[in-house]
Amino acid sequence: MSESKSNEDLHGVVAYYDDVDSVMAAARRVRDAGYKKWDTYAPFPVHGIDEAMGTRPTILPWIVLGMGLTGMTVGLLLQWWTNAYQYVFMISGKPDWSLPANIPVTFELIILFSAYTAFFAMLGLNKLPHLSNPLHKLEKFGRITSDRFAICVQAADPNFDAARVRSILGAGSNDLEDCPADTSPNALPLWFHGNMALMTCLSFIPLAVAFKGRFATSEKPRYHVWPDMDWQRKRKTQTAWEWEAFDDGRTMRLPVEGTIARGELRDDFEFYYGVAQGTSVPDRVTYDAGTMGEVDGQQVYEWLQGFPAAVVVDEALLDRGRQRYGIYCSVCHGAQGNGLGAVALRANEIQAEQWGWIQPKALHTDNAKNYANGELFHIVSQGISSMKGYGAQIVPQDRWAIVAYVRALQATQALDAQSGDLPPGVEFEDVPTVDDFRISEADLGSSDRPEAR
Amino acid sequence: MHGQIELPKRDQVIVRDLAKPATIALGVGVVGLLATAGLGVAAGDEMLRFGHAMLIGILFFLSITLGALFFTLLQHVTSAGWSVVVRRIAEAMTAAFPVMGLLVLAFLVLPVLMGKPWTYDWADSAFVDGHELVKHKAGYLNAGFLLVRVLLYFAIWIGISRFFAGQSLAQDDDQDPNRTLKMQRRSGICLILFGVSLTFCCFDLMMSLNAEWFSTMYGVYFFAGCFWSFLATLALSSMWLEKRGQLKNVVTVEHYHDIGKLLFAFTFFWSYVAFSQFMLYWYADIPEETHWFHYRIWGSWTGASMLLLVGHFLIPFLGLLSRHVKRRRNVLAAWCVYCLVFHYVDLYWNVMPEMVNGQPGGNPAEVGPAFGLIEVTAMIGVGGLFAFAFLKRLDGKPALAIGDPRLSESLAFQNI
Amino acid sequence: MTVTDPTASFGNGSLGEDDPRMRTPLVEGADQDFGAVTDAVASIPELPVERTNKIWIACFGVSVTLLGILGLLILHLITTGVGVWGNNNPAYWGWPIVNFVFWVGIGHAGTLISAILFLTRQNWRTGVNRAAEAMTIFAVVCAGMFPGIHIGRIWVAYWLFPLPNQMAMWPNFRSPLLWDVFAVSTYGSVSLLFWYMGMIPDLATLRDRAANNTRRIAYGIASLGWTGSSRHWHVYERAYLLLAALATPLVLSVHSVVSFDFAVSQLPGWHTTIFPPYFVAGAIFSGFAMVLTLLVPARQFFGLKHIITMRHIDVMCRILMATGLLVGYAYSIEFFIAWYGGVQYESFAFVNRAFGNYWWAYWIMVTCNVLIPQVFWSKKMRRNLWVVMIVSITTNIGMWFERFVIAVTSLSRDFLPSSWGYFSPTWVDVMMFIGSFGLFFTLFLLFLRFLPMVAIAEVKTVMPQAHAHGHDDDEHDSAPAGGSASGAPASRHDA
Repeated sequence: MSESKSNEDLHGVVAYYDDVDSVMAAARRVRDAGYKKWDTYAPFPVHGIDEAMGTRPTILPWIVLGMGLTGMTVGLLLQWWTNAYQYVFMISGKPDWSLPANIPVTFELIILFSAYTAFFAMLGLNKLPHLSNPLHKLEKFGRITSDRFAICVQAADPNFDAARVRSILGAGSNDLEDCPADTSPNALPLWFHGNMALMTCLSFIPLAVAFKGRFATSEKPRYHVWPDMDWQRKRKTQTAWEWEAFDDGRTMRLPVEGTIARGELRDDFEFYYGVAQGTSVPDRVTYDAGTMGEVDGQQVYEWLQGFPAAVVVDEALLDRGRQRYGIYCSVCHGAQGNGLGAVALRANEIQAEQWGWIQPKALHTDNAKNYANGELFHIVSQGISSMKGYGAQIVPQDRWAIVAYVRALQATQALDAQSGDLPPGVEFEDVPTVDDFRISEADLGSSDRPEAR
Repeated sequence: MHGQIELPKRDQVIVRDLAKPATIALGVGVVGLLATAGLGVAAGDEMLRFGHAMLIGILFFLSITLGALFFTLLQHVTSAGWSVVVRRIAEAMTAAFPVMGLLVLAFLVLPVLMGKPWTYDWADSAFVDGHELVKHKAGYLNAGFLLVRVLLYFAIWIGISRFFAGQSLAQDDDQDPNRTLKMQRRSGICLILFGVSLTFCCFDLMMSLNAEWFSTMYGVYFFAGCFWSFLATLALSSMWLEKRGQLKNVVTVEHYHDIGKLLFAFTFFWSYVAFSQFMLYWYADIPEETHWFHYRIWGSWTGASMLLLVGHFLIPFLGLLSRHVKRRRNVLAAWCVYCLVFHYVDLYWNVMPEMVNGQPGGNPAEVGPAFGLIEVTAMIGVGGLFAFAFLKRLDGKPALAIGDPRLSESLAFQNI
Repeated sequence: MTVTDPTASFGNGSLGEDDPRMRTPLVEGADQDFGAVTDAVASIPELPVERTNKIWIACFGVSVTLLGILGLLILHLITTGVGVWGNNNPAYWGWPIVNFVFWVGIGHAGTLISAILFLTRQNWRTGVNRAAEAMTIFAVVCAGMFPGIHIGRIWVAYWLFPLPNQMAMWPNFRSPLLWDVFAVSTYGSVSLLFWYMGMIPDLATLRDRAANNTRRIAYGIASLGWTGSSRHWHVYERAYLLLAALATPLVLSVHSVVSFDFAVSQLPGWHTTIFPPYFVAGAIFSGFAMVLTLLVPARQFFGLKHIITMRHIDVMCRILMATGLLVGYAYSIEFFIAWYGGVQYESFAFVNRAFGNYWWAYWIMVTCNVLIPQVFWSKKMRRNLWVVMIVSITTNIGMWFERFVIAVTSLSRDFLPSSWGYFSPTWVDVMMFIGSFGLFFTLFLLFLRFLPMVAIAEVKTVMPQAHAHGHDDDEHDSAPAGGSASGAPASRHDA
């Protein structure tokens, strides 16, 4: 311990103590002497030393709290963004954004963020890791982590005065020494720089390989890490194989009798589409209320005028047609085909035209009578104007039955009787029209008038 | 001074002059009960409101008493030192068991014996016949067996509490450390009896309100509330005795800090149990389990449920997080009162929707919470009787276990 | 007011070590000072490699062999497929999941001892917490392995994590299995931090005592330049407290989430609300059993009987019994509610557990978990190390069977009799489970040999010398309860 050492050469003065009481007493003295850059060293956290040293409470809890809240936000946002916003999918009937199910992960992320913060902020606040410390050069200081205590007042303290410090520290200790400052150069040795440069260069190799793999082409087959998925022990369909196959060498069995190949199910155009065999098939787009399948005044489709060969028109068919008509058509078109079904009457009652309602057509108009059977069949199947198609609900056979029944209705009912058209001995009944059912404003009254939207 | 603590003298810690307050409490309690009965009759709903209001009142104070018993047992089973200075308060609270037993018998068991569904739908044989699932459990949910069980529960609780309180009082005089050893040895088996009886009592008195519903966790849920409300009551009682002078310089901020930490821990524990119970039933979505939550959460009880979530978990969790809150008496006292209020909300939320449920045409999702005078009088009635038993036991005896060999440890106790 | 000495005022005569008037010292022996504790613990890792004990080498050899078998079997599994296991339809979750829950349960005692007992000031924890934390981490490693290899295409295991990918798909956060990924990985990494952080001061001790440069540099880097500065200790203690406070709900949540894997389903026997606390209690139960199994021989073997004392073992036995009773409580309540609920499938599931195909597994579970631990009511049994070893091992067996009973019996007998099945393990199942013990013990033996197995700094804080006695030093050490932990009636001068 040389007094001649200037403050630049001195890191500080260290005093060693053997028990808690003396180090506590010394710490109080140093605190009261007003030093700032000094510290106590102990093998374990000494209860009460913070007060003796005047250490202020750390802000660590606040950092942890802040990061805990961040973890919560991240957890919630992550789950909302992934499952309720960016990639929405239904699972076990739960709402996309189902908070109860998101609590566990949110909770874990709160803990994860807080705990990592507690650890790393502890290191940061203590400026660790800090591997080079002048105190570690002192041989006696090694016992601090085992069974001794020490106080070091640093020479960097503005009030530092070696003699005074020694007298303060020495009151409870007879083991004092000066800690020389760390005079080793700050610059890292050349080998370290060299190694770091080499490592940095090497670290680019995997990236470069990946980059090359991304853009380069190769004639060689792909490398198969798990070949059992790529080359499975199985035979493809439609192939022949002498071994491990059926007796006839095929890898699959022949289809059963009556199997229809894909795409060949509806080869009977007359029956399925109501047009001549091999002609173009109508759809909802080319055949709508505006064009009626006409392009430049020319009918595109060759509508079937009669009935397909597969349909036999007899009493049973008409009976079936009456039944199906009653189920599917009469609610709008009315049992008599006059366009006065239950829905039409109700729509009329609430004056639904104001919301875009279009009256179902009566089937006795000339227009309706002029449709070819095939065209009528198509309308039943695919719909027209605001009428939806019934192809999905009614099988083709029954649609033809409905067509036949509509033809029968047209033949036996009429909107305006023209007795000349009638067979002898038959009289038309006067069929009511829509207008007969129209209710005037006054009739509606005020009681159950529907609210206008 | 280290290692040697000034033990308070016996004269200084004797609680005096409580005979009059106890009598007043008894009077208030009786008046409260009479008023509740009057209001119940006046409501003209076949005593439904009365039965459920009384059930909440009884459960509220019974849960505190049960928490006190658990605390006493827990301190013995862990050979705890810090809590000696406040253990006497818990022991005194357990004196309320006989009163609570009488209340349960009179207001909850007796109607069932008479076949009146004031509180429990299953007391009505017509109800049981109409519900296949309830009929299935008639072997358990019937009047006679309920009476036997309730008598058994209270026999267990009164027996245990009398033993521990008696030993502790006797130790005041002879300071025999063998008594501590004796209590420690018996506390284990007593905790087992306590756990089983508390669970089944909760099944009987609370879960069977909706006789079709069931949850294995319900006992744990009730227990969490018991200990939570007890801790709040403990801190308040101890502050009151400190103010009166008996616990002055005995119970320190360190003890409140510890009680506060336990209160915080049980805020979390309650939430954990409540969330787990809800989440499992919400997720699996099986009708016979989910319906209990459904009419509490989707309907006119939504507000109450949200209140419980925010008030029973979020607010006290954040509020009790800081150590400064736990170390300031006034602030902690405010939080204790808050916790008691929300313990009431919790019980109310558990019990009240069941008043309408099970009634012909009754849909709890449509009939929301209706807090009224009758709930207040029921709380005053039961609370008065609870206070009577508590004060009566405290009167004339030391406010802390003066003869406990770990007293000096408790007095010197410091948080790290 | 009188100044009283507790022994004087509370009657005379000794009541033995249970005497409530004083706390038994946590570190036994009359001449124990800080240096002696350092020596006792640090001398184990400091022993030169060439002088390593033969028994340790033998145990390590067996463990590494088992670990090698495990590695080969994993290779076999990956190249062949999960068909090498006994998992079938309907028992999709066979032994791998049973083993996962078993190991993750064991991994609970460490953090419980470190965190919950720290918060409740159970100072006896200092003797055993380090080893228990190490056990936790190694058990979590074993646990994490099983679901990892159970997913089938293990080379895409990263799909478990929410990583942006070219398919623009994200994991399903409403699935409890994903919660598990988050819970177990959070738990594993936080436990590792907790363990490492606790070890930093002790690594510094080893650094300062190191006999050669290799050790000095290795321990020096690992101890991050720790000096023992009190300002550092101040932040360190705060961080430790916070970590403990965070780890406590984390422990609760991890096994709760594991229980959610089962309980959110509608399968009878799985779907019940008591599962979360019941699993947590079971985890603590099995964890303490494993701590006892490991530490009873270790303390004997490494000469740490004065630091891991009979009192430690006694307390752990009592915790073992208490948690065993909690588990028994859950078994009974489940049974009662299965009847009370009136759901026929549920009743059947429980009757089937006890008397169905797997009745033997159920009764092994009940015997090992509920009945056998009851011997610990007797103090004599708690102090008999052979009994302690046997009971801790049977508890481990019982807890493995508990998971087996839950996972397999419920799956093999669900709603439809047509989908019933029977699960039998294959040799690969059995050997992989045994191999996982190889992984566990390899890591644990390395830990025992090269790292401080007792938290040196923490043990010192619970020694009587660690407490300041105020200014008046003349009354030094007159406290009768001087051997106590926090219970030492310490000075109140700064209160």
